[in-house]
Amino acid sequence: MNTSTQNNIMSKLEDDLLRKRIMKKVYMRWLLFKKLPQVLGEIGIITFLVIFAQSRVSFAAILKNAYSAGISDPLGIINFSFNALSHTTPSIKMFSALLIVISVMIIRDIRATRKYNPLSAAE
Amino acid sequence: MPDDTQNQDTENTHDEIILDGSQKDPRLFEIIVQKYQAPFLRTAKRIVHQREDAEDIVQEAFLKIYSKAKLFKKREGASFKSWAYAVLVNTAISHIRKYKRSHSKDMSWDPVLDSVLPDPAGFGETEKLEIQSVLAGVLKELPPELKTVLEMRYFSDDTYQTIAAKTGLSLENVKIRLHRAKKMAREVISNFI
Repeated sequence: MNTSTQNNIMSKLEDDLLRKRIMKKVYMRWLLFKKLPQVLGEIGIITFLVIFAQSRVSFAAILKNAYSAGISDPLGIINFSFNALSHTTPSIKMFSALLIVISVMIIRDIRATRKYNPLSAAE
Repeated sequence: MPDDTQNQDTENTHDEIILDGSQKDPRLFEIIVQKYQAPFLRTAKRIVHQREDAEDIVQEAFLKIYSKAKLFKKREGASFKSWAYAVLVNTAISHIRKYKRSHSKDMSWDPVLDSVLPDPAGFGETEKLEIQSVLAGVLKELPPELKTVLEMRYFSDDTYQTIAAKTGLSLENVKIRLHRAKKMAREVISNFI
């Protein structure tokens, strides 16, 4: 291998390293300044909704009943949720739907960040 | 020539779409990095003369391009390429200023003007195109008499003598006018982002 080819390979390796360094910083920036505020905002909305609904919904009782229903039969949670929702007021139904939608959004956002893990970008 | 302009427009639109998309999906930004990394590194190296410093400048410039994408969208009529080069040159200027402050005893030369817009004589075609990219975004903001001499020197590759003959100015005046034009171009670049 002559010196020129060696220099070309070295230069290409250096360029690749620089590109990875740049992308690592870009991912980090995206994570900290775009995704994290979004997820925190969604968690904030859920917290606010839960606090707001606490006077009308007993979350402790719901969790206790769900646990009892699910401990013997995991699929029992689905039946329990369906029955609980069908016997509640329209406003609680809407509240539950909102809670589910935001929870799905949070899960989606957290899963999305795994694709762009800045710590693995430089590997 | 119109084909060239059309190709550049398409290229710029393509880059703008990628920059826009990368705000949601950062992986797209790698396309821009891959495309501009080598020319940016050459331009930065021409300004600071050292590979390590040039790499730091390029890295910082790309990060600014990514995080200040909204500022580019607000800038009417600017092409992505000229804006990106302005960001790079500004980052290099800041780097030199910082360096100059900490090594003021060693630096007796004015590094900024001549390294950002060096005289094109003796440069290869690639370097000339890169210097033109730096200038492209600022030309329209210069007064006509300064714009003309810059265009003649950097885009038409005219010598000082040819510019003097074409404009009817003395050789000394051409040099003065070119220096003023470069100074003003640098000021425009500084206000570009």
